[in-house]
Amino acid sequence: MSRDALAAELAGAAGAELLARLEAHAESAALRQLVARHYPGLGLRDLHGGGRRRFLSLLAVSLAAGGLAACGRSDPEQDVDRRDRIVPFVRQPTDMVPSAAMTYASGWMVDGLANGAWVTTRNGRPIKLEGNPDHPWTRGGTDSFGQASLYGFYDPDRSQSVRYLDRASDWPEFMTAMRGEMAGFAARHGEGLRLLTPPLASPSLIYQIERLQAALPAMRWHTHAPVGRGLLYAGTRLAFGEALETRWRFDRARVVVAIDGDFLDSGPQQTGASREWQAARRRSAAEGRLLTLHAAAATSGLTQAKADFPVCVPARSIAALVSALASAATGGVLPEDAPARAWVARAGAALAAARGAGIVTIGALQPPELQAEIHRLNMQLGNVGQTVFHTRPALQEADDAAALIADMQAGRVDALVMLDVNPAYATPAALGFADALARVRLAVHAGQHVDETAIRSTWHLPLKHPLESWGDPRALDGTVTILQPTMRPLYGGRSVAEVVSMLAEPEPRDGLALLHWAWQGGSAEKWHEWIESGLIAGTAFPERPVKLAPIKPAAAAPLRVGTPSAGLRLLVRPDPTVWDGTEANNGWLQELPKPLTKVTWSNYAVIGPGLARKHGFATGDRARLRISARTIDVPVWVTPEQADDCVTVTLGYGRQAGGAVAEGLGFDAYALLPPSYAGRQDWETGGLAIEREGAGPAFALTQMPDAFDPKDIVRVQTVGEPPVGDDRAFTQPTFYDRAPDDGRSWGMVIDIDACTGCNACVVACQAENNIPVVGAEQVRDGRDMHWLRVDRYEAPETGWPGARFVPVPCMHCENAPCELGCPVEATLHDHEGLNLQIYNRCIGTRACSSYCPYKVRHFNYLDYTADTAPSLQAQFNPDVTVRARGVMEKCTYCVQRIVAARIASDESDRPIAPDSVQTACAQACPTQAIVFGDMKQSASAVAQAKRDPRHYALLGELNTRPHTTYLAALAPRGGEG
Amino acid sequence: MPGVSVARDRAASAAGARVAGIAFHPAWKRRWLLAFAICCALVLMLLVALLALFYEGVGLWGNNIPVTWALDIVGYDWWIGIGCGGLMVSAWLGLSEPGLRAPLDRLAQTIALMAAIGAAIYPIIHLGRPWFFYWNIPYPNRLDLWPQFRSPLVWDAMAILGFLTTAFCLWTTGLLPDLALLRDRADSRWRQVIYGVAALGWRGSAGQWARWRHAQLIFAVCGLLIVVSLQSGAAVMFAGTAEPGWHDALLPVFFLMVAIYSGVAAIALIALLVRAVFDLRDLISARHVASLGLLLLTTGLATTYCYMMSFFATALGGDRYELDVLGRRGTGPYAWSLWIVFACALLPIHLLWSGPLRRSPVALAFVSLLALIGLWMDRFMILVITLHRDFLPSSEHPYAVSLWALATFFGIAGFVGALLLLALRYLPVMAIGEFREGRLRLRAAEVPGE
Repeated sequence: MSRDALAAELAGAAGAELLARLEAHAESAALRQLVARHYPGLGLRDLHGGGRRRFLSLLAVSLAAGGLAACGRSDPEQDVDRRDRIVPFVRQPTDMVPSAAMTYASGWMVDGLANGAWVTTRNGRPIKLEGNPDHPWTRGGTDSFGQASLYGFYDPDRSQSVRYLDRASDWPEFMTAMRGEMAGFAARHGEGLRLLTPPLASPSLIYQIERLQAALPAMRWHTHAPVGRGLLYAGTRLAFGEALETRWRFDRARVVVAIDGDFLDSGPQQTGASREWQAARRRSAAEGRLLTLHAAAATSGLTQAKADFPVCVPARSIAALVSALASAATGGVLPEDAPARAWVARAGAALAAARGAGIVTIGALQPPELQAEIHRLNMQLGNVGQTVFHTRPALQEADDAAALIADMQAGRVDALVMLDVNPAYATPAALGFADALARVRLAVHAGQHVDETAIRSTWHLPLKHPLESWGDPRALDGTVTILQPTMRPLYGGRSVAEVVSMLAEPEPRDGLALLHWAWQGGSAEKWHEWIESGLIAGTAFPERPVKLAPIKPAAAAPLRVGTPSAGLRLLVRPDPTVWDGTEANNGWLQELPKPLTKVTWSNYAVIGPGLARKHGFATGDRARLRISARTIDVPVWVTPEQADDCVTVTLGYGRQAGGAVAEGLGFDAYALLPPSYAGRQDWETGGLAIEREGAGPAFALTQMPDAFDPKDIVRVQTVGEPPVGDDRAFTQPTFYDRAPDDGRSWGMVIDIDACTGCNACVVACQAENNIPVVGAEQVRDGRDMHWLRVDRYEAPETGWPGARFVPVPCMHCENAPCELGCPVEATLHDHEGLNLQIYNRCIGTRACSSYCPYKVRHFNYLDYTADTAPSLQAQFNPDVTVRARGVMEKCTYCVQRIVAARIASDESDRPIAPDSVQTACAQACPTQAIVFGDMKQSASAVAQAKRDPRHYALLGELNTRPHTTYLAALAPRGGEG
Repeated sequence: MPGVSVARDRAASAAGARVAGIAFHPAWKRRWLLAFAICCALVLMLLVALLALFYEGVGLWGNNIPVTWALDIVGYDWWIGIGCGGLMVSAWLGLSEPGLRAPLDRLAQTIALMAAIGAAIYPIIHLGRPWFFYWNIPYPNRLDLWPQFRSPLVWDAMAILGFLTTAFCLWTTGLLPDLALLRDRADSRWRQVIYGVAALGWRGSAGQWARWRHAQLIFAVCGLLIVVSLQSGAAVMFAGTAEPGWHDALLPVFFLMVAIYSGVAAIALIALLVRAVFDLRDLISARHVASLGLLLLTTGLATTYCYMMSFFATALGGDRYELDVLGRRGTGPYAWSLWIVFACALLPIHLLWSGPLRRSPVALAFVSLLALIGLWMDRFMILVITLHRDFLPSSEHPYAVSLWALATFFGIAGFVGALLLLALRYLPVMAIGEFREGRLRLRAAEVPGE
C-alpha cells in the first residue's frame, strides 16, 4: 500500500475507527513513511516499543485535529490545482517565510481577454493584485475589474458544490453520469450535443475543444458573450473580408477622432489603450502640440467625456456624421445639413492635415456597416499601417447563440453544455432562452455562481476563479498570459478546461496537465520562465497587412441601424462597473461610483434634457420604457450629455439569481432588447416609448449631481500658453513650521489630464486598505468609505459638459486643520510629512472631518466590518488595521508600504531608492496619473512632477500646504484641431 | 420709610410661607404629576434611544460625511447656551437690587444647572466610542498620553466641567439657607431629617451669612468668567477651523450673545410658567415681568446686531466661500433654518417695544418660546449649512434628521424637564433668604434715619 493510499484511507476516519485503522497498519512501511514525512521529529522506535499504543493514540488525535491526509498533495485526484508546481515570483525564498509577501504572476479576465497581473499572497492567501509591468499589454496598469477580481475570488456567494436538479451533488456523481452520456453521444458522433462557451482567447482551451469537435463531428460549438467583440470582427469582415483586431499606435498620431468612442471606457482594451493614449498625449504636450481627441456620440462615456472637442449628436445621425466626416477628411464637400457641422469640419480638417497620423475609432457596439465605413476612412487617409493597424482576432468565436436557441426550440438539442456563460440572464428575454432550455433533456452549466442558468439546468458545476486556475488566455494584443493558481481552490471547483477534459477524456486531467499537453515542446526552463513571468514572450500578434474588400451590394444599401427615423431609440451599453452582469455580485464594483454620474448600486436610464422637459422628468424619477409589448421600469438620470432621440440603459442589473449582492438591484435591460438577433446583437433599437411613472427613491450617490461645477478647482493649461500652475500654496506666511525634518517628505502629484476616471485606483485602495463595503443605504446617507474618491467636474471650456476627473486622497497637509481639531491627538504629523491616523486612540469626535477642507475623512458610523464574510476576511491586508465602529479613517499614503520600505532601509542601512515605494492607487493607475514618492529626492518622479509648470495645490489659499498636489488639465491652443 | 419696610417684611415672611407651602402642600399636585409623567416618558424614550445608540453606533443619527456634526452639537450648543445665559442672568441679578433679584435668581440658577446637565450628555454620547470620553480630559496616566491642547474640544470639555462645578456650587450654596428654612417649617419628621441633612447644619448665624455671601460672590464671579470662556471656547470650536461661515473672529461674541439671549428667553418662559402654575403673581410681580421683557428685548437686539455684523463682515470680506455660505443661508436647501431664526428669534422681539405687550405675561412667554426655537435653528443653520457643502463642490452631501436624533433631543429635553420639575416641587423655588436679606438691608438702611 502506498503512502498516499494510506493517507486517503485515514482521511475518512475519526475516533476509535481511526485508531483501529492505524493499528492495522502499524507495521506497514506506508505508515512509517507517512509519519516520517509529516512528523520528522518523532522517533519511529515508538511505533514498535512499549509506548506504541500511546503513540498511536497521539497520532490519531493529531491526525484528527490537523488532518494529515489534507497535507498530502501528491495524489493527483486531491491535488487538482497542482500548487506544488507553481513558481513564486519576485522573492524566491529558499524556504517559505510565514507572513512574508509572495508575489505570483497571473492574470485577470475582462470579457474573455486576459490582463497580466502580479498577485501578492500572504500565508498562501492572495490579498492584492497589481498590473504585471512586464506584460506587454498591461504594462503595470490595472483596471477596476482587475483590482476587484480579488473580491470575486473570495465572494462568499460563489457556487461551492456540484448541483444536480438543484440539489447538492458531487464531482464523482457528475463524472459517472457524464461517462454514460458521453459514450452515448460518441456513438452518435455527437449528434444532439451542443457546447456553449464565451468567445475564447485561450489557445489550449481552443485546442481542447477542437479535439473534442474532431472526436464528435456532429457536435456543435456555439459562443456567446453579452458584449464581446463580435461587432468589431463583423466590421472588419465587411471592410477587409476577415475578422481582425483593430489597434492603434497613439504615439505616431497627431489627432484622434472617436465616433461613439470607447477606447478609454471599461473593457478589455482599457488598461492598455488608455495607457498608450495618455503616454502619447503627454509626450505631444511636451513637444508643444497636443494629441487632441475629437469625439462625437449620442451618449456619454469616458472617451467622450475626456475629449478636447466633444459633440453630442442624435443617435440617428451617427451614420450621416460618419459620411460627412469621411467627406470632410478626404477633401469632399461637407453637406450643409451635416450633423454637428462645425465639429465635423474641424475634425475633418484635422484628419486631413494629419494624413497617416490620424486615428478614427468607433465604438465596439456600433453596427458593423458603420465600422466598415470607419475602416475605409482610415484606409483612405493612409492611417492604416501607420497609426491604425490590424492583427488576428484575440477571441475565437464559433456559431452564435441565436442559432442554438432556434435549435433548442425546434427540439434539435438533446444535451447542452454551458461553460462560463449565463445565457438565461444574458440574452435578450425576447429570444426565450429560458423556455427553450426547458426543452433540452440534459443541461449542464458550469459557472462561478448559482445563477439564472444554473437553477434551470440539470447539472450545475462550480467553476474555479482565474486566481485559482491554470490557464493561458491571450490579452488583446495576443500575448499568451499564463494564469497560475495563487491559492488552493476555495470551493472545490474546476476550471473550464478541466470540465471539458471530463467530457472529452476517460481519465480527466487537471489544468496544469492540460496546459503541458497543449504547449508540448516547452522545456522545463521555458516553463519556469513562462510561469515566473506570467506570459509567453513573443506571442503578441504581428501586424497583419490588410486591403479593402470590395463593397458588397448588401452592405452598400442604406445602413440598417443608421436609417434616420424620428422615433425614440434605446441604446444599450455594458455597465462601467459591473460590465454585463458577470461582476454583479462583486460588492467592490457595486459600490464603485459610475464614473460620470457617481451613482452606486444601480443602473439607470440616461435621458437628454429635451426629452426630460417633454415628459417632465427630473433625475431620480421612475420611467416605464416600452418596446412593443416589452416594458421595464427604470430610474432616470437627466444629463445634457445625452442626445434627445435616445435613451441609454446599461446591462448587468436586475439579476434574479447569482448571489446576495447581485439580486434585486436595478433593472434588467435584456428584458427590453429585441428578438431580432441575426448573428449579432443590435445595441440600438427603435420604437421606444417612455412614460413617467412618478418620483422614485434617491440614487445612492457619492457626488451630488449639482456639484459638477469646477470653479477654479480644476485648472486648465492651454498648450503653449503661460503656465497656470503656481506655488502660492507654499509661500504664504505661517505660524507653524512643520516642514518634514527627517530626511524624507512623502508627497503625491495627480495629473488631472491623465486621469480618465477609470476607477482602478479607487478599488485598488479598497483592496489594499481593507475598506468595507457599506451598501446602498449607507452611501445614500453619505457614509461611503472610499479613502480615495474620484471627483468629476465638468469641462465648460470644451463647450460641452465633458469631464475633468480629480482623484482626491488625503492631502497630507503640513498645516493640517484636522490635527488642530482632534482633542486626543489621534491624528497627527510624523517627521516624514505624513498625516497619521491612530485608530486605537480615536474616540470619534469627528472634529477632524469637520475641520478638513477637503472632506477626505470617513467615519465608521456603524460597525461596517463586523459582518464581513469569513472568506472575504481572508482578503484583508494583514498590515492594515480593520477599523472598528466609531473611529475615523482616511488615506494614509499606504503607510504600511512606507513602513516596510523604512524597515528594509534601516536594516540594510541604505536609503529608500527613489520611486521604490508606491501607493496602491499610483501602482494601479493605467495612465500613471498618480505619482508618489519622496519629494526630498530630487531625482524622484514626484519631485520632478512638483516642478512641472502645471503644478498647483487644491485650495492652496487656505495655507494648509498639502503634500498631495495636482497638475492642470491640458487643452489645445485655440484654433488647433 | 417704615411703612415700606413693614410691607416688605410682611411680604418676605409671607413669601417664606408660600415657598415652603409649595414644597410641602402643593395645590397643583395633579398638574405637576401630569407634567412629570410626560417628562418621565420622554426620559424612557431617551433611555431606549441611548441603548440603541450604544448598541448600533452614532450611525443611528443622520450624521454623515460631510455633516459630521448635526443635532448632537446643535443640541449641545443650544442647551449650554441656555445654561450660560441662565448663569449670566443670575450674575446680573446679583448686581441688581434684592427685590428684583429674589424671585428670579434661584430659577435662573436652576435652569442654568439643569440645562448644562442636559448639554453635558451630548459630548459623551455623540462620540464614536463614548466609553473613552475621558481621554478628552487631562488625567495622569501610565502612557503619559495627554489631550491635544491645541484642540478647542479639550478646552470645551474642561469648560463644561468647570461650568457644571461652578453652577452646582452656586446653586447648592444658595439653597442652604432656604433648605434650613424648610427644615424649620417642616411638619413631618422625615421632612425635617431630609431637609435638615440637606441644609448641612445651617443655623443662620451672622458668621454663616457672611461666609455664605462671600461664597456666593466668588461662585458668581467664577460663573461669569466661565460663561464668557465657555461660549468663546464653543465658538472657537468652529472659528478655529478654516471652514466658510465658521472661520470668523466675531464668532465668540456672537455665541455669547446668542447664549445670553437664549438664557433670558428660557428664564422668562419658565418664570412665567411657574408664576401661572404656582400662582405666584404676588411674588413674581408685574415689575419682574416687565424687567424680563426689557432684558429679552435688549439681548434680542444685541443678537440681531451680531447677525447684521456677521452679514456685513462677510459681504465686506468678499471671500468666495464665505459668500457662498451666506448665499446658501439665504437661499440654499437649508435656508429655512435662517428664516426661522428671523421669524422666531429676531423679529418677534420687536413686539416688546410696546409697553403693554412687554408687561403681558402671555405675550412675553410666547416671544420667549419663539426665541428658544429660533435660537435652536441658529445652531442648526451654523452647523449644517457650512458642513453640508464647504469648499469642494464634490464634498457636498445633504443631511436628513433621523428620528433617533430627534428622540434623543426630546428625551434630553424630558430629562431636563424632569429635573426642573423635581427642583420646583421639592426645593424652594425662590430664594427666601434673599427676601429676608432684602428686609434686613432695608432695616439697616433705616437705622440712621431713626
